[in-house]
This record gives sequence, structure tokens and C-alpha cells, in this order.
Amino acid sequence: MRYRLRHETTYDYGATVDLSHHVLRLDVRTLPWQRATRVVVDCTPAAERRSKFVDHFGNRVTFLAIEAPHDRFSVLLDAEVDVAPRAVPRSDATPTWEAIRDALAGDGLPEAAGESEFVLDSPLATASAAVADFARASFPEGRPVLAAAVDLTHRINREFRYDPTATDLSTPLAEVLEKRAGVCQDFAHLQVAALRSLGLAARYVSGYIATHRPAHDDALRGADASHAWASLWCGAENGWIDLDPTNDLVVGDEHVVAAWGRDYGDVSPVRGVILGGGAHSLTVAVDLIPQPE
Amino acid sequence: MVTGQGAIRKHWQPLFGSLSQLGDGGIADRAERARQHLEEDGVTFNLYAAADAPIRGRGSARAPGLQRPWALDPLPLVICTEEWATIEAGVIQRAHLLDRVLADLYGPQTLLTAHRYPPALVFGSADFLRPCRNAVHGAPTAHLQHYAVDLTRSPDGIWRVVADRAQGPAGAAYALQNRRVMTRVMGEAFRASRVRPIASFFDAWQADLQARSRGDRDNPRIVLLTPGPFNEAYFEHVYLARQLGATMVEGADLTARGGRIFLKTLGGLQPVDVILRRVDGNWCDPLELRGDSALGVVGLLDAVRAGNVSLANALGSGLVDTPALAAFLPRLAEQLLGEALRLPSVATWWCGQSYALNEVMDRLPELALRPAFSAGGEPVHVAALDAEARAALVARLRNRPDGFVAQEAIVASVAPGLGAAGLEPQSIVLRVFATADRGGYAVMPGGIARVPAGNDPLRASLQRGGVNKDVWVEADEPADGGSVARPARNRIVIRRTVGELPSRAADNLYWLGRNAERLDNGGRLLRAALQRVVSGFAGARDFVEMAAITRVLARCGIVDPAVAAAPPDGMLLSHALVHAFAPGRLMDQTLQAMDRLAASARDRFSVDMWRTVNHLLGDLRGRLDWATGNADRMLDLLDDLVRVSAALAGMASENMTRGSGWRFLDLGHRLERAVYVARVILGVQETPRPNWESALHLALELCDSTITYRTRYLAALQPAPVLDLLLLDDSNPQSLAFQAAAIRWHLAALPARGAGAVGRDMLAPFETLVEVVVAFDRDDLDDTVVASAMASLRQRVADVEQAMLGLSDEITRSYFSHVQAARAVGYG
Repeated sequence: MRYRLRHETTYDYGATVDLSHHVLRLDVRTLPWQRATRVVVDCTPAAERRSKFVDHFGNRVTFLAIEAPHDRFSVLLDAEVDVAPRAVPRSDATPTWEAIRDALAGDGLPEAAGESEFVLDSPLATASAAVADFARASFPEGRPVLAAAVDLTHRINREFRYDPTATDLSTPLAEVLEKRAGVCQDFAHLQVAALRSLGLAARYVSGYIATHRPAHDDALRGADASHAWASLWCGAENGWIDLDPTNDLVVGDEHVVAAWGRDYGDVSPVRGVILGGGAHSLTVAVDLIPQPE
Repeated sequence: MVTGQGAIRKHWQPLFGSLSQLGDGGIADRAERARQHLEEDGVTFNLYAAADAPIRGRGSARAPGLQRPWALDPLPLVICTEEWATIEAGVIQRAHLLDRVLADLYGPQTLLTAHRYPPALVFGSADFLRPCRNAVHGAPTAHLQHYAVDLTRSPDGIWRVVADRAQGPAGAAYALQNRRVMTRVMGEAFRASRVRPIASFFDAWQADLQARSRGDRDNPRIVLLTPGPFNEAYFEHVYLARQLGATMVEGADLTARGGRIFLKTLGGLQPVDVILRRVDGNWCDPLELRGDSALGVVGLLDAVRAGNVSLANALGSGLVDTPALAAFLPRLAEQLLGEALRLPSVATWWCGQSYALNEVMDRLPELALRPAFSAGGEPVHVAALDAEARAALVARLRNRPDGFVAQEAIVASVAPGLGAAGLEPQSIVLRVFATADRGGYAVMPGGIARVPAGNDPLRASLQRGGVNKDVWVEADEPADGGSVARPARNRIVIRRTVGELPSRAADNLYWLGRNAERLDNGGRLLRAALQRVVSGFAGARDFVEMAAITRVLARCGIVDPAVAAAPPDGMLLSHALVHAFAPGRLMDQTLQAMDRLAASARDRFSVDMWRTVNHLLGDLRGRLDWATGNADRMLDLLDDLVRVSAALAGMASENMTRGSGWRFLDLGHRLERAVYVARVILGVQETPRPNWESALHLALELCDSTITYRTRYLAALQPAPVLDLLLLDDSNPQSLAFQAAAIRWHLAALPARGAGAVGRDMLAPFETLVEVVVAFDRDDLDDTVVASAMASLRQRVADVEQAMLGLSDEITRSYFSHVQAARAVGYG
């Protein structure tokens, strides 16, 4: 599937900003099943300095410094992306979750050293007792890891209400659990924390989801803004499998991966520090539109 | 210290020879002299009330906590040549090793993928700063520029490492300070012992920092980034900056432009090449690291990645401070360096591996447990726990074994020290310092020895206090004639003078000047008032003068307006006078501001000047409670206060180079004095005409111009000559004209902003003062003439007062305004 991706972010400041620095994780990761044929990141006003680097997680990052006074800052990601269907193993043919857990522990020196990072708690996805209790029901002894995780995805989707008014960026996981409501970011954090509570490696993926599905009447949730979901390590043979609890599905070719990390804090698309500015308003517009091949 | 045969070891003999001549009383006397030296130098280690704060040091918003004086035992730790050679080689190897470990963990991470080091100890550590991954490309010593290590000697005589310090290794400047004091109080013993000098260590350190500049190689700008004057080791930051030719800066003094870091100075932005970091890594860039930090520089990491600025140590170096690393170092030394580890650590187990956990469980009572993921975690000695606490600890250990490190609870060997009852054996921890030096490392031949609180070497840290000792390393070979120092290197290091004045330092000095002048003026006013109170009110003249003084006091904000309106001989006024320094009153605030500003500006003063300022201010502060509420004592205090002010002003005038720093200090003085003189005149002129003689007399007294007047005019007081002396005479340092000339001179010399010099047109009201004197300078002073002259006086002088307050705002806007707070924005 080929997509045209546009992601525009605009800040309108109440007072003039004298100096601003931004770190952008606005890009498309190059993956075996995903490739961008064109990526343009443009900002207004033009940046006095612009540099690029690859972060600890392998995400491509753009650094911007705007040193002239401005009242508005706008940044646009415009890309064309090819996404092929991913090979997803049969869920009941994956190793048991205990086997994966033990491999990740590895008595202190696990074979999967890099993957083991994602077993550990992170600031926004911490495996509390409540999260562990919630996760446990999907993970009876000896269940294949992906089958159990798919069940967990399904339970989050069924037991939690999608409600953009229920939470905001700073809502802690405990409150999401209590309210049983949230948005894609909350569900992704919940699933990541739940998987970690079992000793599994889970990461937070930020990206985009198709705005219109040619073969379906219903739109997928999370299409109006940048989207987020979880990814689970299913052993050396299967690698990472992405699960979207907001839409209750195993990710195929309707998602575009922008960046991943331990939680939202590692991958926020636009993060900045400004001097001046007063109150500001933020507008975000995202389109991921399938293109004729 | 003692050989197996009970004899004193050779290298201790010269010291003990000197000590036996001194006797117990002599040693106690030396200890007291050491204490006095340190107190006068203001050597302290600030302590915080909050447990979390010590390492972090939250900038300037906090009031200073307790200041712990730096306690120095006059008995040094003496180390012989052979023993030192072992330590030195071990520390050098260890520094290389930790640098390699950092380069790998912040680079390719082959130690993790090859299963040489547990990934949990990296990924689970708050000191692993992900944004710093691949930010520095790892030439040797690139990550670890300087390093400190805590050692203790086991009863078997072997030195073992109890802690590695790579985040911001503190103490090197304290070691130099200790040595300075020791050579003064223990001079004979020092010379007899042939001690290796330590000063050249700082030359090597400075040379290495300079060599790290990628910009200006000939004359690089090195800055020392401090959390601010309330950080526990601020004394060391100032002292170290001076030793290393670095400019003291806080995060707000720096800014990133175009991928470079600049220092904001009065003369504009000046590029910074090397940053000696005394702010923990995570607090250094609020854009990519901790977003709530006010101590860092936005864009610092971008400049680091671009290779435009070098940080020492590199951001993230705190990762190797974890005690868990010790369990893996012997194998890492073999793998990374191909050598056996020379300097062993105390036996350490990381409990995240089953074999280690089993061993720890077997030996539990001999061990101390501490958190694996933080360097500052308190050790818990299992043997000291009761059954219940031990069971709880074991439960936590079983639940999250990877979160624990176990260390052998060691018994440190002892050295002689000065205890309450004279000489006694004390267990000691030795801190040794290393700096990168021409691609390798050099070790300071000396260090700090400490007697840790509770005699527990695992608990030793500078924050936790304890008594300190100088460390005397015996020189290699006796030179002919018993000479001491062999220079460590032939090269002469050229020391730069401190560069352009940072805007924040200018701000501090300006307000220091204003507050010092305010303190002096307030002291004179209060003294004039109290003298009249204690001598009783003899006649009408006393009432008149007292009323005028209280009006001036109220104008200056020292007493409330209600007090000024009360009867001059009443209780209300006398009470207000003897409580003028009560908490919250202007005079108290002024003293506090001086303390704070003097501490912030400490790096701008010479050592002697700082000692004097510190001593004088401390003495005044110490007597406030004693004086408050008692008129006679308050008068004594005010006499001293006026003398202190004069001493400070004299020192600034004699000891400070006439750079921008001095100009701002003096500008503050002059501006405040102009405001004061204006207020004295405005307060005094309300006196009715029949009492003019008293009023004029008082104006001269309050402006310290009586003697000048008397030497010129033997006759009675008249308005015109008095006003001429106070307003127009630019040879009188108390006059408004004198202040105006000085202010004009300073403004012209400071960097211009926009069109022309700052605030010059604001000095115009001074020009009109001549009309006031002319109005009074005539024979026919009838009521009409006087009324018009008085109106002119009030108007012109009030204009001057307002102009000065306006000028102060203008100076603030022009020179200090860019200290503006940054805010984070972001979204999902």
C-alpha cells in the first residue's frame, strides 16, 4: 500500500517568542516492510540551525533553532510511504510467555540484551500492582505469548472507552485504569506496562493510521492525530509484533511507524523550549491517505 | 604506621619528630589555628535540609542551608613512595578502564551485546542518559576527563576502592586548600617530611581542558558550570575556577546559537569552548534531558553532537558511579585493557545474577546492601538489623534482586588523628584525584583523607562531613640538601585573567554596591537617632532634629511612616530604632541581600578581600540578636557597621581592578548615595524656618560633611553654602554633583546599547541644582524669596531622586534583562 502522509503542527503564541529550540521526531522509520520514497520536514519561520541525528532507539531526529523573534511556529511533515503487509506468526504457534520472560531475564546477562531494555519500567509506563492484576487474566500458565497478548489487546479495547475528554497528556496510568477510558496513548501505555509487569519486553510505538480504508465503511480510531500503539517482543524467531489496542488489531499495512521508545516521553513528535511566548494555542492536522499504486 | 616490630615507619618519622617537640598542647594549638584559617577563608560545605537536594543543587531560588565548616585535622596522612606508586598506577588504570566503559556504553554497547555487562545496570540506571548515546565520539579520555576514587586500607594493608566518582568528582580544590593551611600551621613538619607538591596537578588539568577546545585553540574560553551559590560545594567551584583559569557561570549565563554555546557578557555573546561541569548530567539541557531543570542550557546537546563544545566530564558519566560496576571490573579490565585490575574494589556482588544472590544470602551478616541503580544510596549493614528488619530486607531482596548490590562490610585500618582526648587511632578513607593528561591520566600526589561518620568507609562522602586530613606523599628520593619540590613538568602554563564580565555577575555586583551603600546610610541614620535617644531630650533643638531624622528614616523605608509621625521622644520611635534589624525590616533584608550577593560575586574578589568581607559580615550578623532591643548595644553595633562599610569600600577601591565588575559595584554605590542625599535633604527641608540652623547642622551630619563645612566656613550655618557643599561641590565625595560625575563616567565607559550610552540623558536633573543654590545665595531672604527657593529645592531634589530610580531601571533593562526563563512546549 502506498500512502501520502501529511502531519502539520502549528503553535500560535500570545506574545513574541525571542528564541526557540525544537526536537522533532517527525519521520518515517525504515523497516523491512516500510519505506518512505519522499520525506520533507519544513518549518515556518525558517530555522537558523537545523541538524539531524539518530537517537538511542534508532529514530531519526531533527533539531531546530529559531533565533529570530516570532509569534507563530509551524512544522509540516510531508511524506510518501510504501507499506507492505507484515508477516505475523500464528499466535498459538509462538513460544509460551514464560519462555520469553526467562529468555529476557537470562540470569542477568540475557541473550536478547537490547530487547531486555523494554522489560524495565519507564517514567510513563510503570508496572504497578493494579496494572499487573489487570494483565494476569490474559496470561495463564503456558499460554503462547502472542495469543495471550492478543487477548490482552482485545480486553483493553473492550473494557476501556475511547474518550478524548477523559484524559490528557499528563493523565497517569492509575487514573486511566480507574476511569476505564482514554485515548490511543493511554491504551498503548497501559498495554506496554501490563506486558512489562509479566517480565516481557514491550515498547511504545508512535505513528499514523490510515484515514480512510477503501474496503471498509468505518474509519479507524486515532486517524485525526498522530497515533500510538504497543509492540511486543515474541522471541528471536518472531521478533517484535505490533498490537493496536485502540482498534483491537494486530498491526498490518494500515499503520505507518514514525518512532519507538519506552513510552511517549521518548518519542513525542514535537518538543520545544521557548523564551517568551505567553499563552499559546496548538493546532495539529494529520492525513494518511492511500494512493493509487 | 607501625611496623611489625612496633617501630614507627620511616616515612612517619619526620612528622612525629616535629610532633614530639610540639607536645599535646602544641598540637591542639595547631588545630585551632587551622580552624581559624579555614573559617577566615570561608571554606564550607553547604548542607541542605532536604535529603534529595545535596547532589542536585537547585540554583538560586533557595535560601542557603546550614553551612558546615570544613574541619581539618593538623595531623596529615603520610604515605610512603612505594605505597603511593601502587595507588597511582591503580588509579590511572581504573580511570582508563572507566573511560573505556563509558565510551562503549554510550557508543556501540558491545559490552552488552557480548554479554560482558548486565544490560539492566545500564538501562535501569537513572544515570544512563539516552539522549547522550553517540553524542561524543570516544577518543581516549573523551568521556572521563577527571575522576576521583575513594579508597580504604584493609587490615591486610591493601588499598581497596569503596567508590568511583565520575559524575562531578568533588574535593580537589579542598585538597589544595588543606595543603595551603597545612604549610602554614605545620610548616616545620611539612618541610622535614619531604612532601610532594600538588599544585602542578592543576596545571596539568588546565592544560588538558584547554587542549579540548575545538574552537579557539590558542586562547580557549573555559567555563565552570555551577548550580549556584547554594550548592554544597560552591566554595570549591569558585576556588577551582580560579585554579583552572575558568569563568564561573550558571546555566542562565549561557545560550546556544547556531550550534555553539555562548557566554552572555556585557560586551555581547562570547563563544565557549570547554565546560567543566559541576551540574549533574540530567540537569544540563532542559530540551533533551530533564525538562524541569533551570540549571542547564537549552541546546547544549546539539552543540555537543556538533563537536562545538567539550564537556568535562561528558554528559552521562555518572553511569559508572554505580557500586554494582565493581562486581564486573576485574573481567572488564581483562577484556578492555588486556590487564589484570591493579586496584581491587571491596568485595561486591550484584544480586541480579543467581550465583551472586546465593552467595549473598549465605554471607548476609557480613555484608552491607545498597541500591544498585543510584550512586548515592545509603548502605544498610545487615548485622545491625534486628530480626524483623532483616526479614523485611530479605523479602525485598528476593522480590527485586537486581535492584541490590551487596558489599563486604569492611573494617578500615587506622591512622593517627587528633581526637577529643589527644592523639588516637582513627579509621580513614582516602580520596584520590586524577585528570586526563596528554591522552593518559595524571594523579594528584596527595588528596583528602577523611574520618568518615560512624567509622563506616562505605558511608564516606563529602556531604556527610567528618574530619579531613591533608595527605602527604613522600617524595621519591632525597635530593641533596633536603630540597622538596621537583617540578612535575617543565612547561609553563600561561594563566589567562578572567574574561569578560558575565551579565549576571554585573547584576550581582551592581546590587551589592547598592545594598552596601544602603547599609552604610541606614547605619548612619540609625546611629544619629539613637545617640539622641540615649542622651535624653535636653531641649527643643533635640526634638526638631529627631523629627527630621525620623522623616528621613521613613523616606528611606527603615521605619514605618506611622513611626515618623509619632512623638520623637515616645516609646514607639525608640522601639522601632532598637528593632531596626528585626526579621523582615529593610535593614535585615539589606544585610541578607549582601550575604547572598557577596557569595554570588565571590569569584570576582581576591582571596584576601573575600576573607575580610566574610569575616566582617559574619561578625555583624552574629551580634544582631545581642544588640536588638538594647539601645546602648545597638549603638555599638551601628558604630561597627559604619566602620565595616568604610572598610569594604576601601578594599573595593584598593583591591579590585578597574574592569566592568568594579564599575557596576561603584555604580550601585553612587546611585544609592545620590538617592540617600536627596532623601536627607527632602526630609530635613520640612523643618520650620526658625529651626533652620538645626536642620542645616543635621543635613551636614547625616551626609558626613560637617568637618568639610567647618574647615571652610567658621561662621554660623547658612543655607547657600551648606547646599553648595551637598549639591554642587564635586570635590565633596558626599555631594550629588560628585555622584553625578561618577555615574556619568561609568556609563560612558560601559558598552553602549542601541543609540549611545545608557541613561545619559537621565542625569539632566543634576544640572538644574545650581538654580537652587542661586535662589538661596542672596542677602534679601524675605518670606517670598524663601518660599520660592524652598519650592525650587523640593522640586529639583525630588527630580534627582526620581531620575536615579529611573536610571536604575534603565540599567537593569539594558544590561541584566536577558536572564529570562525558558518554558517547555510539546504535544502528542
